[in-house]
Amino acid sequence: MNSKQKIILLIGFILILASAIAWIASGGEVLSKDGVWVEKEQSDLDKLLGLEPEKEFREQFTLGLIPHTLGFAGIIVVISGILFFILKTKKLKEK
Amino acid sequence: MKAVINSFVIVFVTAVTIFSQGFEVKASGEQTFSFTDKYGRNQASFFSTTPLEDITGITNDVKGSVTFDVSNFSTLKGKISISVASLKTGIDLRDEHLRSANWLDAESYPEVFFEIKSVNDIQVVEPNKLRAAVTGDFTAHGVTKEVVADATVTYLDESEDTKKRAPGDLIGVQAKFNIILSDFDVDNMVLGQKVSDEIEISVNIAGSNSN
Repeated sequence: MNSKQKIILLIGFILILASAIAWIASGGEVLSKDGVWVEKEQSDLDKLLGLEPEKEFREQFTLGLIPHTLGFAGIIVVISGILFFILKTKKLKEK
Repeated sequence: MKAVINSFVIVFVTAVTIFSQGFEVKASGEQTFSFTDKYGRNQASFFSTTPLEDITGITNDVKGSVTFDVSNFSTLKGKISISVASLKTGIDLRDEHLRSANWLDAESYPEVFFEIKSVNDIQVVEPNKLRAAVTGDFTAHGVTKEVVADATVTYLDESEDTKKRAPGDLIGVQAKFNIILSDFDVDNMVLGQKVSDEIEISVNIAGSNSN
């Protein structure tokens, strides 16, 4: 493995790690979501009535493992693999 | 003699507390509460959890009424219904699937409803708040099954605060029960097992006796 191949592997690893961190930071959802249910502020009367807070849908994209993070990681693996192979071939030709 | 009287009072108060099965409020006799909600505040929801995804579906189109004797909550009768077409899960395509013939079939069975049959295990949480196990017939997708809901009902006498929502006395109902989808001839394989076979259903509604 030459130095360029090592750099490719390192960059690929860092990008996949970054996408994994981004996925965990955005909630660790398996599937991507377009929005979330959020609880509205409850009135005093609703509290007296023993009701739970009303929920409403709010648009908020949530990064999911499928397809975004795994898809991105897959693309990185493929590109890294191709570059790794190309650089290896060039090295053999140079010899 | 005084000790005997005190003992009698303590026993009497304890017995009343233990065996009381109704609300201690101003109203008396049979009362009917309608859940007509001009503010769209009443909500019913379902929740499904699988390793792949959690899904929450919500509707504000909840209708119905209940009748009970204020001093005897076991007399509770009534029916609560929701319209299938009004259920929202947050994803339009999924809502279409939910309404489709493979699922709840909103065209053939436009409503899901719960008809109360009996009330058991009544517990007085507060003078105006009861907890009970409410048994009823739950009907969805044209299939009826008996379910038991854990319900908490709070009774509020009419006041300036309650009038902001509706005239008359108000009750708040918070109830939960679970159903098995396959019992209702709904095939959860349609969406590739993204939906659990066991679904939790919740209602969170307020009604008035002024209608």
